[in-house]
Amino acid sequence: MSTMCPFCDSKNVEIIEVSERFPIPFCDDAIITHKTFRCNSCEEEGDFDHTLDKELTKTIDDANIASAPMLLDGLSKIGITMTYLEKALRLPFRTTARWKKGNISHAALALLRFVHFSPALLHVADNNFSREAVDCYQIFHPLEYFTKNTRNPGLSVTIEGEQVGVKFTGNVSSNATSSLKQEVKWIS
Amino acid sequence: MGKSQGPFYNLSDLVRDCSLPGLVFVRKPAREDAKLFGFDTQARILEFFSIGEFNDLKHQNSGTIDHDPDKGACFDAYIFNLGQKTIYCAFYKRHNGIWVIKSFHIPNFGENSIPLSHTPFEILERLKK
Repeated sequence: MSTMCPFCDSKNVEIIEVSERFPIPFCDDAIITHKTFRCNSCEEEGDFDHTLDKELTKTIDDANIASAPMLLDGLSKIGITMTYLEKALRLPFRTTARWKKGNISHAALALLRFVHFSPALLHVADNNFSREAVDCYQIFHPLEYFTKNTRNPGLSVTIEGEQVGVKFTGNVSSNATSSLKQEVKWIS
Repeated sequence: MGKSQGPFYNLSDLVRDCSLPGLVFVRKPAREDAKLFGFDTQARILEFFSIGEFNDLKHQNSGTIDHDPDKGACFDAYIFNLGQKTIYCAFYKRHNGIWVIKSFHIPNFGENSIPLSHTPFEILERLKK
């Protein structure tokens, strides 16, 4: 039975191969060549019979999972041992060895990305998310960011009664601020 | 596209049908836009819709499609929040009962659109029009 275009009802539909780019966090984009339906009448493309996306989803998943060893290597390079990571996160020892072999769940990969994004989180976890460890992270992490990414970084603290204000200033050298609002407030 | 009152459809009907195979399809431009929100495939978009959790959902506008083959079909458009992002989505039901999600992007206008200060060249584009 021929597949019908769900957008215009035409039966002039063929299967073609297309290459699409999918972002993989902390890695180069994955360029995946996959099959898709194309309607030669209305020029729409897509998974017209809800079968092709399954294979594509698996390929995207595989590409994401393949990034795990690189994330772990990145942590090793900055001095974080796998034993420390497992201890800090209360994971069974040798868990990361399985991750390196591609035996990693979506949830574990998400966790690994957070740790890769901010290795200082391990210190917080290692200290049972204590108030002191959380405060230390929240104060020093922005300072670390500003020190690394700004020219002429500055820090000023104001105290008015019971209110404490912390202000970071600097000329930002990355393009990160284009997506930020002018002022960000947070409460610890 | 002509504009009129709405919404024409019960959103919960779309949500229900998203979990049934072959009843909802996402147009290619909408799929491309949805990738910016981390939805890689049509299947992933439909899986999200089938949950039916749209924070701060607001009916934005409704109207009729003005091009073939669905000329005259009514569409509904909504905005909702997903994390810190606001999403505009529009959909309609074809004569054969198939739903089509035709838009899935950041709102173009209004308080939820991207501030012009963050997209300076858009000011020039708008002045040209």
